[in-house]
Amino acid sequence: MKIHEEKSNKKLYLHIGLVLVLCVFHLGRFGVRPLTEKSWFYNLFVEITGPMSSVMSLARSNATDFRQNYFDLVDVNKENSDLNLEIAELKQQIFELSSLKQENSRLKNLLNFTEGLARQKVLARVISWDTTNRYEKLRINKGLNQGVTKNSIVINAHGLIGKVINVSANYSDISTILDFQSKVDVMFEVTRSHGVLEGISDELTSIKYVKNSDDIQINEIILTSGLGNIFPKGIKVGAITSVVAQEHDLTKEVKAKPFVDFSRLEEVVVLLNESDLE
Amino acid sequence: MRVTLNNINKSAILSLLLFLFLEVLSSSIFVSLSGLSLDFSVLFCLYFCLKFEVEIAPYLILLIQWLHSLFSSLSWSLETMIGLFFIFIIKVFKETLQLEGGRNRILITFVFYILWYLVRYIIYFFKFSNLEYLKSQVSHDLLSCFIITIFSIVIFKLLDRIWGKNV
Repeated sequence: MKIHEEKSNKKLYLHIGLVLVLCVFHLGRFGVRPLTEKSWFYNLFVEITGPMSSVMSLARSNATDFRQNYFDLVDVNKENSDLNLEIAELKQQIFELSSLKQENSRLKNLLNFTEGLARQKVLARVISWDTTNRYEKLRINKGLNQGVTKNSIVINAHGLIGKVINVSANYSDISTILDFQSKVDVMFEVTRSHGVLEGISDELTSIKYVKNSDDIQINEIILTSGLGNIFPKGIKVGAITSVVAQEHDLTKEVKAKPFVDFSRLEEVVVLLNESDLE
Repeated sequence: MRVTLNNINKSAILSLLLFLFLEVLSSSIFVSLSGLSLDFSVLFCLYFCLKFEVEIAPYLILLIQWLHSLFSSLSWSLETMIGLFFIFIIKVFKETLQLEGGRNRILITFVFYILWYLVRYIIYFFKFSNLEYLKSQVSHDLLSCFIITIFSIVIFKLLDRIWGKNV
């Protein structure tokens, strides 16, 4: 009995060892947060699960709209029972129209916002969110077939969202500016000094390498600087929420809140890479 | 739990499909509605650690974590290593763990969930030294641990049915 158990344990440890070697090899090669390593096999699964996410995301969006536009109104008009049927029909029409109006206004805002950016644009819908790290990674329903490539920039009417890190035929993964591994070179609107922005929580970012001598004010707007050749210059990113000068350091500790509300993202605009279009 | 090779394929595929469905549900609905992320991968791995004594467990954990990497920015290799660590821990304490009864199951799941996150925090802290990032995660993670522990009653029952055994 004991010999059998020992044999079984040895077998288990052998298999654990094999899996461990594979993991150590992968970790050594790609690191703890492999943002760029994605295989064709990975993309195949993204293509398979993408339609399911699209349907669920659409269902959620419709359910939310329905709840906001329909049930609230039904509660208000309960008193008039004779007109219930007629009202319900009208409400349904209002719901449809208001949904269209909201969508129209969102898209209009997006178009107005992107007018100044001389790049081809693709409108996309967010279909899924990161299940672990809250808004650090998003998936959208546009991919290679629509011209999206790796490092394409993603924005909405409020400002910068992030960049594409992985792209399959019809879907793309975005690393948002809230990801603590994302680095965006930014500049301050008034002082024009530079820093590097990275995520620190689900609603705040920190700006590193800001000189102690720079006169940064709270609420000052930050924009992309255009350095690094990935993010175009002048896209709004957020506003400064705190500035702490370090006594024995050359740099300041600056925190900023992004303009984009990542919890309410629906449609986004992807700015296509110019080099890929040529 | 003794599992014959004949039912491994079918049960494994069904488990992975269930996991995939829950991950799609979590990533496209839960996060956007509540702002809470429900990490089902840990739950599935804990099930395999707690109930399997065969060599298939490390491979199932590997598969679950790889699929989870489709929906999160975490590394499947790091999470699998945490899973392997848990196989050892659970093997050591197996005799003392009382899995019978709903209350015991919930408590054990909750404790191991917290431990899993703790190990993840420690690794992240040593790797990135970003304490602020971890602080912002703790409150969210505690709440999602609690919610997912409640889900565990149903999911463990479903997995018991899939693997054809009640423990």
